[in-house]
Amino acid sequence: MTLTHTAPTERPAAGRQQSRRRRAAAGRREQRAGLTMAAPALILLLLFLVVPVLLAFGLSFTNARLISPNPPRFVGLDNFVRAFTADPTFLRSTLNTFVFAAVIVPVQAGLGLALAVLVNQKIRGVTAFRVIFFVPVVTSIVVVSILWKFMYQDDGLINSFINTVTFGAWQGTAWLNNPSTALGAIIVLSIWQAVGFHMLIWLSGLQTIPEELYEAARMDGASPWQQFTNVTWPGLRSTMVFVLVTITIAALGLFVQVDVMTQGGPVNSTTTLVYHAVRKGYREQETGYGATISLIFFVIVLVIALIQRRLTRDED
Amino acid sequence: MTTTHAPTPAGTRSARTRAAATRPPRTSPRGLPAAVGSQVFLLLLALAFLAPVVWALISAFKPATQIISDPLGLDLTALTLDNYRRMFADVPIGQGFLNTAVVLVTKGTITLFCAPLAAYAFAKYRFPGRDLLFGTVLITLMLPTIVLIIPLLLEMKALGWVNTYQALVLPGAVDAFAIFWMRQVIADVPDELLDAARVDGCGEFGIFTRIVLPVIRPALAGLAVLTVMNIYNDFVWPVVAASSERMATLQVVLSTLAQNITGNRVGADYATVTGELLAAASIALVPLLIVFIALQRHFINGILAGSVKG
Repeated sequence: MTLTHTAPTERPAAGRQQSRRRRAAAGRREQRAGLTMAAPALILLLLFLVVPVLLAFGLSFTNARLISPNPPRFVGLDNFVRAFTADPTFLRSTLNTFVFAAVIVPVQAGLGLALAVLVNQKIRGVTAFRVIFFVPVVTSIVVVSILWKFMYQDDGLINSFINTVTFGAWQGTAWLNNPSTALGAIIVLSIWQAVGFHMLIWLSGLQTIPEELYEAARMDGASPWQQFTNVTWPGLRSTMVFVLVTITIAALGLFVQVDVMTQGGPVNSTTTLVYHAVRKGYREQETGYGATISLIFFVIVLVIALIQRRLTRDED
Repeated sequence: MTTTHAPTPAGTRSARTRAAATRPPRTSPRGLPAAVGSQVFLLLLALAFLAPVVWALISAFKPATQIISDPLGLDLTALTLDNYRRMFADVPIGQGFLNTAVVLVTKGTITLFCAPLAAYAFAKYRFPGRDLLFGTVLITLMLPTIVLIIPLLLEMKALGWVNTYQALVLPGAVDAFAIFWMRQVIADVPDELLDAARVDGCGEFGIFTRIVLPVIRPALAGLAVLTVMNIYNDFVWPVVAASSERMATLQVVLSTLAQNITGNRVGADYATVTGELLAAASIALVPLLIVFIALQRHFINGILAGSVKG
């Protein structure tokens, strides 16, 4: 790549000749060491990240299939046209993905922050609470999805519980079989699973805020809420950016819960972009079209990430 | 379960002093009632967080038909190991554990070695193309790996790697986030420390293993925690790249079993699969849970130590 701009171009000064030579030797050694150490990681990234990206880009303009006697043919923008005009499931997947992210990002970030504030107090058993809220994060999303699938059944744990609490007034519903509740059900379990992780990230941000700021605020007679808005929240800026970006990227990539619990149903109410890409590109073996959906997905993620960066930077 | 109440006085003391080291005591003027209120609230929340896991662990010991007919009930006299017995007979869970263990060790080692090494090079050395290369790493940070599984699968087919350990281990062994995170941490290691080692005749690689790695140990522990968690729980790539029975990892075995339950919701067969599934889910959950509870201080402090700095 840019191997050219390294030779030092400073004017030779007679007296410094020797030290320059020594420094150049050290510089060369440094270059070699740096490159050698970065190489293993860079090679792995190149082979299994950059190559697939280029491959996805190329494939999305072809009609490639996973297993096919015919070689892939260039079809121009056909796949993109098909996605936006002839594939209602794709449009529904896009909508579901946005709805999921639009709910998850604020709710999960907010709940995570609330939990972090709660477990940042000096009260008994606070370590135990931190551990307990982190238990679902340690649990694999496959296991979590399996458990919640049982719990959401019409005779499952959640309906039994509501039934008991309301003394039988509640008629159970099969949450995942009902198109109007299925996505909401997946949202709830997703938050339950991941919120403990963001609690910890918020907590690390909270612990960097110096106690003197709170003391000063209290001396000025600030209420707890005023302390939060004037001391805590401004001190959490960089944490907030990190939390928002990571939750957004994870939310847009929703796949496992759908794959284990609903397979996109009922009537496409839970299908997502990634699920659709995998369904088309892998299970139905339409590799070219699957790559197209992946590429569209990547562009969407990139645009949202850039918008978020811009928004959070402007406030500085 | 973890005891949430009445830690021993000694325990409280040491927890307090540890907390005090990071942040001075915060005494509220209306301390007691507020503290009790939030403690009760936290206790209720804790129940909601534990209930599903505890329910699964207990239900796996109930007779299969009772799990369905009475999900909340618990008949202590009827507890049984039947679900586990049937599960071990019907499900290749041992092979799943073995595959996961192999991937965990090899992939984990690669991640924990290559990512900090590259991060060290990016943080402390000048070499041609460094900024361009690091810029590329930063862009891939925004790229959800899930986008890549279809082209990556084609690459595996071209290499003849479908249903092999290479396919499970190498893709994703180094991710951009690990490099980015470790570079932030290593950038804070003072140059004087490295120069001192150099003067003492330490080689460049020796500086990395003998100075840098020990200095960044807390963040490295955080990375190790996340790496182990991610590999143990990874599902999307394994299910696509290596779903044959011989290569299926634990999570793939579980999801295959779960797919069985989708269609037929009637009869004894449904109950049997439900029982097997809860037993399998429990047994997949327990190892990481035990490790987590045993090492929880390192887990949580590791993540706290390593996270965001500007």
